[in-house]
Amino acid sequence: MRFKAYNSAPSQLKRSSFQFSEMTTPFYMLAPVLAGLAVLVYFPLCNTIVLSFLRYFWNKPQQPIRWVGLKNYIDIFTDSLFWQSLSNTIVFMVVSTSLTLLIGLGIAILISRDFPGKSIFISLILLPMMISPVAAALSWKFLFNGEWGAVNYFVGLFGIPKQAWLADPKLALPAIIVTDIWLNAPFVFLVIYTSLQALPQEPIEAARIDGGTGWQILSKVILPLLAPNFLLILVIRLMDTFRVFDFIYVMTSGGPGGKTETIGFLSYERTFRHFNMGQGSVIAIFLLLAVLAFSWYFIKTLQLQLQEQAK
Amino acid sequence: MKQPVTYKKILFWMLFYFVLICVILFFVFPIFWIATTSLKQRVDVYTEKPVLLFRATWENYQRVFQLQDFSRYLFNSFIVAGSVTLIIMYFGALAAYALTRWRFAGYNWVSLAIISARMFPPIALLPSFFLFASRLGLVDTRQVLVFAHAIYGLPFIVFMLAGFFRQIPRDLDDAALIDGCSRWQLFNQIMLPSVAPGLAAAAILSFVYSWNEFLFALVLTRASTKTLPVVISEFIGFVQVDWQGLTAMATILIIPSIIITFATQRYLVRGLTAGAVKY
Repeated sequence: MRFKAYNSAPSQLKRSSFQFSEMTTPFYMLAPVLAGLAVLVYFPLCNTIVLSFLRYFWNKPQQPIRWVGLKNYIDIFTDSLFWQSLSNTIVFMVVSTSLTLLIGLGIAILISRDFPGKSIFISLILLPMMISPVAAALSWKFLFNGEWGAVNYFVGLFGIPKQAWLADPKLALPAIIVTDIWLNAPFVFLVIYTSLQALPQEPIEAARIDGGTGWQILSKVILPLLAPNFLLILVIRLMDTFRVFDFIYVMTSGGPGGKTETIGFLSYERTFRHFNMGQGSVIAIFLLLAVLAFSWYFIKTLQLQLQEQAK
Repeated sequence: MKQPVTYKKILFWMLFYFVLICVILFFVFPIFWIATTSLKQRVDVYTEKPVLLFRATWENYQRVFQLQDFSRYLFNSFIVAGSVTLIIMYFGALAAYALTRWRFAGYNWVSLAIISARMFPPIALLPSFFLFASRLGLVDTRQVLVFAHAIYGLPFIVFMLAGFFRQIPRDLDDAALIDGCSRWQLFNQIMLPSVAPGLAAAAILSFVYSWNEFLFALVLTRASTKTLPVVISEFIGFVQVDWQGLTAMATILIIPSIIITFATQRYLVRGLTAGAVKY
């Protein structure tokens, strides 16, 4: 039967029905994902925008829901805790991202040579990569304990007195940054290391033959070649650090004195602890716009850089 | 040509291994410490000087499992992560296949809608997500958490799998179609097996994502459907923190992640870099 159909000229009807199904199949295949995104992501997102204009305490159903215009926005943007958490979030994002990338790059370059035990070393360093942020935060909360934490023992070896790390206004945010680096540097390392392995060898060899020193080859040849991947991982880290939540929730709850309050945590607090849907939504929208803004900006920069290199 | 061993060289390698050991210590010690603390007795935990040699005991684990419902929460974690993985694998592969084989009208918008969903912070959806879930009576059901995790994990997996589908030549599709396969047969019986390595990476990443995820689980679950991260976070809140029990729970939470990292490094390197770097 099949051979027959194949040998005879296809009928007009058959061809058109084949083309029709060819046109509709991709939509059926994409339908589950797109429907899911529409119902579970884009619709709630739009609704969050509506919520931001309402006075709505969801623990008080008897209180009427009122349209209050920009009042929630004004309340948030005149709230000093919001500005403090914004500055904390920016400090966390900048310091944590840059250190994570530097450490990832440093380790990748360090072990780009061959040495005995290399594969074991890579396995060990990747251990934290898949660990739950909650477990990581818990581990470091345990290590940073002021009375019997192991960190105090290690810094004690260098003659530094005991610190109550997470309760100290100056040390709490750095402690959380250390936790973030610990959890995320392995992934950054892995991406940079695999991109280093995949680099074309010719430019590096050419630079070596031309008498370039190790540092010159690194900064003038290898790093520019890595730039596209480096920028992408930078964007990913910036997005993820700007919305930091798990570490704050587990390690400090925003304390001491709001020194580790971040935008993501503040939004959660307003929505689910103060039950204030309006204010929580305002902060959530701010967070969303900020994350979108710099992810777009960096994607555009990346494209521009690639175009310039191609010229 | 063998180069002579010089003092400079010896010094270099000593320094090199010293730095390596420091790096390993930083990344491995916290895990080692949590795992060993979970096996310690009370006397060996709260000491100023870390205790490295101790009499191991299972009593912390016994205590944790005697806690009400702990095994139920462990089961929750497994069932949610397992369902999320199956959903993401199949529907993610479908979408990835469609995105690599057709250039239909609105292609750019569809791909934009999927990419940007990867970038939305979950907290931006949560106020309304929670409201809808509670109106529909879905808070404290496993289904709503499965849906949330699945839809939030999908965009990344779609782009990762698209990278795998792109490497499969279209000739394979054409040959099967000429032989009389329908597109769905082609997809289910030929395409899925050919991207098996990609699917394996997708499965691992989705499982780990759901197993570890905290924020959705915190908001959408209550007493009967909590997953392990939520249980642990609540346990910390107590005034008298039971660190031995906590480290035992954390070890249970960490174990699958570590096994997966060790067992699947090759897949992971390929999967993660395909998803993260090539987009």
